[in-house]
Amino acid sequence: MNPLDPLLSSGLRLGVMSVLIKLKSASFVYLKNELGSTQGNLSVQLDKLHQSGYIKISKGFKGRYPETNCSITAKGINAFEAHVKNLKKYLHL
Amino acid sequence: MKTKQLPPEQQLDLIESTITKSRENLSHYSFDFVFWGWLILITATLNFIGLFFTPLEQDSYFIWAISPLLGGIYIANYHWKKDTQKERKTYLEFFLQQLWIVLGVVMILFPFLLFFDEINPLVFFPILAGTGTLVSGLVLRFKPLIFGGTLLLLFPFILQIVPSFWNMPFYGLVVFIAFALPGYALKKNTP
Repeated sequence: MNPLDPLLSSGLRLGVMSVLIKLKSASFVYLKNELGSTQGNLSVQLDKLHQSGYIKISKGFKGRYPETNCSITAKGINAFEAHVKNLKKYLHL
Repeated sequence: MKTKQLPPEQQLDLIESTITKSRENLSHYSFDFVFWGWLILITATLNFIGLFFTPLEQDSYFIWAISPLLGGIYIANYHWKKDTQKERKTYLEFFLQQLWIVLGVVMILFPFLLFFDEINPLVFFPILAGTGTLVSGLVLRFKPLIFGGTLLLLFPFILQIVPSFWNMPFYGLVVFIAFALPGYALKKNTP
């Protein structure tokens, strides 16, 4: 059995990936509200996912205000799918 | 939500609950269908009046070069403003947006093609609009739009048995039924 991906075993990071897997893109504010996270914690976790190549972060402007948008990468989709598969195997589902 | 490591059972529960929560909101697709349904009905009615009740006659077809173009500019501006307010975009939204942009550009450019070639607009437009509406209905799994798309695709055939005097008002009415009525139904479909 393959070991579970430690990066995706954390609640918040897995939550981010579960939201992004269904969306083309989501703003930082949307993720924060959807996951009920604090700004600081979410920033740190997004950075970890970004550094591992699981998500792409783009910065732009919404009107006059800066906005951060996140989207899942092909590597992230593969990792997420493999993680779900491993979880099911682990739980004998 | 916390950063701590979760046991596998809780991880699967979290994935399931998060994915279920972010369902597609159908109501924001309604505006376009309602808008185009009304615009085409009004344009077809004005064209009908121009054709048979004013000295404009054939010149009244010119309204089809203006009205959809103005409608297209208005709707593009509406979506540009809406998109800047959006905090997320689903793959479905992206797909439908691209589909209707392509169909919309073809439909707006089509009247200019009529200067060079004889193509019946009452065959061409319903086929294009019907294709877009049927595909939208199928991917959104929304029966009123599937019905609307099918109706538009059948329109060129039904038209053959309608007296030519009534072609234009009939076209306006069919587009209204195929676009605006499913549009109002979508509006009600707020999760």
